[in-house]
Amino acid sequence: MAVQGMHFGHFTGRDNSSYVGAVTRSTGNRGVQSDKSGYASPHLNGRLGHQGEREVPMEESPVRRIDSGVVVIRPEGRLNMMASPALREQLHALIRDGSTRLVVDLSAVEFIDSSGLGALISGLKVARQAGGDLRIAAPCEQVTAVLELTNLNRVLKPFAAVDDAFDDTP
Amino acid sequence: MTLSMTPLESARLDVVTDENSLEAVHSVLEGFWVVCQRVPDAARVLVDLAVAEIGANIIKYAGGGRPVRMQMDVRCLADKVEVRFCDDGDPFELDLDSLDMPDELAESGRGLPLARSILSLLRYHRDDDGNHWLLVSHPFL
Repeated sequence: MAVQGMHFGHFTGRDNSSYVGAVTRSTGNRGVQSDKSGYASPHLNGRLGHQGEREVPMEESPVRRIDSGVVVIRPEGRLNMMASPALREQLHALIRDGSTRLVVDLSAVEFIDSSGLGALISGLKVARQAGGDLRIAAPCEQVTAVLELTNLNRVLKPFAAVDDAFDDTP
Repeated sequence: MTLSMTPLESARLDVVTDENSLEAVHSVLEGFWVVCQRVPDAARVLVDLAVAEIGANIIKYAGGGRPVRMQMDVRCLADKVEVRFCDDGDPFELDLDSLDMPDELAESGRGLPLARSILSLLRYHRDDDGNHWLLVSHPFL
């Protein structure tokens, strides 16, 4: 059984043994697939979304269509390594089904990392290949900061509101 | 001579990695910021991001698909935050100094260059205990 602990508190000097407070959990394990990792061994055991042979459901984000025919997808929470594959797959599925003008409403996303950016870029590329576009709207400060740090605000220009995102197209 | 020790805020996570581990990393940092309220928001954002990138890299890759034991220690020093990761996974073999940000339309490969760019120090070394990562924020005072 995998056991993990979290400890918060104060200590003085270098002795970490005086941590106070602890929370413990028991967890399962899941293999993941990788590339460009920097690690020595091959990484072939499973992929995100599976636990051994058992499918682990990945949550889909709410989707709605607005008057202009644009499809709005609204992910929530943290767009990190765990959540990004589901968003990427959902974006691809929407485009495959003909919804090539997409707005990712980021108003409920509190955190994004490089994998979240990768999912958005992936959706952008596939949408453009299909003759459409993907735009982002209503990012929080953290998302705006990460877009600026990576210069991705040049290809994923954030719009203040969902309704503004495709104002320049009929 | 009297030595006065200033209490240092700290947090620790000790896990065998699985699908919940990255959430645990985020949770530990959230708790840490409650304990260590003097760190400005702008610094927290960068530490959160760098820690998430390194933590995700370990969780996803260090075991080659297998779980690894991962420990994360977070400390707030006088004017910076220091985070140490240790894991018993495979050696990390890339030169951190040679990692460049990929093309803007690349779908991966940003995590480590991004973490390095927003930290004062990102260092990796390997010893008999496994992989060791040291992350140090820029001074925030």
